[in-house]
Amino acid sequence: MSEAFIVTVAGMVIVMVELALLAVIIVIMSKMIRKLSPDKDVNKTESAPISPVSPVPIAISGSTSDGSVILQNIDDKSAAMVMAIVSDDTGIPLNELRFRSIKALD
Amino acid sequence: MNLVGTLRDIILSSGFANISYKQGIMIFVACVLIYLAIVKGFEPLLLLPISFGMLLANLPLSNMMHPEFFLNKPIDYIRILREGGILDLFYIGVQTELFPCLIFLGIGAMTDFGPMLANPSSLLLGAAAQLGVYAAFFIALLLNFIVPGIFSPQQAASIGIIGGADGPTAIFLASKLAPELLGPISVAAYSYMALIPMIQPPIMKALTTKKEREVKMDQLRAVSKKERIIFPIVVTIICALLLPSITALIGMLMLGNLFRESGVVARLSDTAQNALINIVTIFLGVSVGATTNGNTFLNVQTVSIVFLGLVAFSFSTAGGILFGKLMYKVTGGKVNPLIGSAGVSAVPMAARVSQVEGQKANPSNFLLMHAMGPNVAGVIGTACAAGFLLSVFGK
Repeated sequence: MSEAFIVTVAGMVIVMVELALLAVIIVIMSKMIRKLSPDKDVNKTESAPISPVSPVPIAISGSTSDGSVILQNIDDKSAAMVMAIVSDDTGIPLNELRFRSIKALD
Repeated sequence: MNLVGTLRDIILSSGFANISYKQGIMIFVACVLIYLAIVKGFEPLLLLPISFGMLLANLPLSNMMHPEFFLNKPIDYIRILREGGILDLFYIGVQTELFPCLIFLGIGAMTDFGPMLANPSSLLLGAAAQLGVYAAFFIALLLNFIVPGIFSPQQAASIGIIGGADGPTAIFLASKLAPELLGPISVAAYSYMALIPMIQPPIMKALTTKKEREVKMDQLRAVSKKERIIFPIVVTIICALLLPSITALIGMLMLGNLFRESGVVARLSDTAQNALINIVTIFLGVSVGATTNGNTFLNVQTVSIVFLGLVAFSFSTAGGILFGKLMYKVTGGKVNPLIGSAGVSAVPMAARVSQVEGQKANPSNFLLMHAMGPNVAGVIGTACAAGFLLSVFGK
């Protein structure tokens, strides 16, 4: 039985050490990559589907929303989707909601 | 011509006259599982082929599956090709590790390791959630004091891996260490995976306070394409060097992920995560279900395995949650301990449970992406646990 206990403890420790080692390697790898190619690479991969839009106020269909909204790094289609979700979740009709700005988080 | 005699011969040579009560029970169990898969939607992609394989294997005189062909080592594959049924042929893929490895290739192609790369400490949660593997292993051996000789260390190790909540790894290890228990182990593993939304929440609530469950976590950083490409290569090298016995599993998992992340083999990635994994799932599910022959399946060992599977899942969930609580303390309340329970592999169901429980405590809480980190780390953790058990008991 003592052997079984040793295997149990050793197994847990080995899995923990192996994954901790992987975690350390990932941290080092990430830091090196970000140091060698700062931001450029991240933007290319993470923001690829969203066309970069400068934060200019645009009017979105007067019949569904009141006033203009500032879109930052988000396209019209995604912004409309966000508005629809907010309207649905809050139960407030879209033409009674007022959005000031919608910003995509990195 | 003796009409009565002919009719009697037909009846006596039919399945009705040759069915045993154990086969009858297994056919009933198979029908219940088919019902659960179709009507209740419990892991239908796996449960449906498994349960139908169970049904086919327990129909008397069908001669589709001969588990005894695979018990003698070395396995006589020529005999299987010559005398075996269609399910024997499928089962060769399980016995030779082909199917679990191909499933891992598909899983790798489907998995986004981004949340784990963004928060590498989630790997520790994936490791902590392997507690159930070793707890079930230990308790299985303790059962020998109640029923002497019920489980050998190899069988206990194969049962323990159920706690990893990773079907292909459980099949991989059981087919190597305890092929005679492959049926009950895989059925228990997949059944409990389907029941995760019922098993985990009470444990999560019991081990955490409301304040801990309400914690909102910071948004994860973006992960670059280079990190995503280098990761599978590094993991393959490190894991294979540390635990060579799991190179096949981890190698296939990471190859699939490299297909996905490299972006240069879209067709291969698409095949691995769709057509290939679907085809292999059919063969794997049916052949695993076919190992549950009533004459060998219904015994004390199977009942014990079902019990130990539940123990394993519960301990794994508790291990992840308790380590999550430790991280909550260490980080000054920045980590929600609920993401720890996602360290049991079961991707993405365990992460969804964390999300649901987090939102119950705080409706503005979104833990899904945070929970995906430990969730995919759990897949690697379970493979490592299997590799360790294989290196200790596989000789």
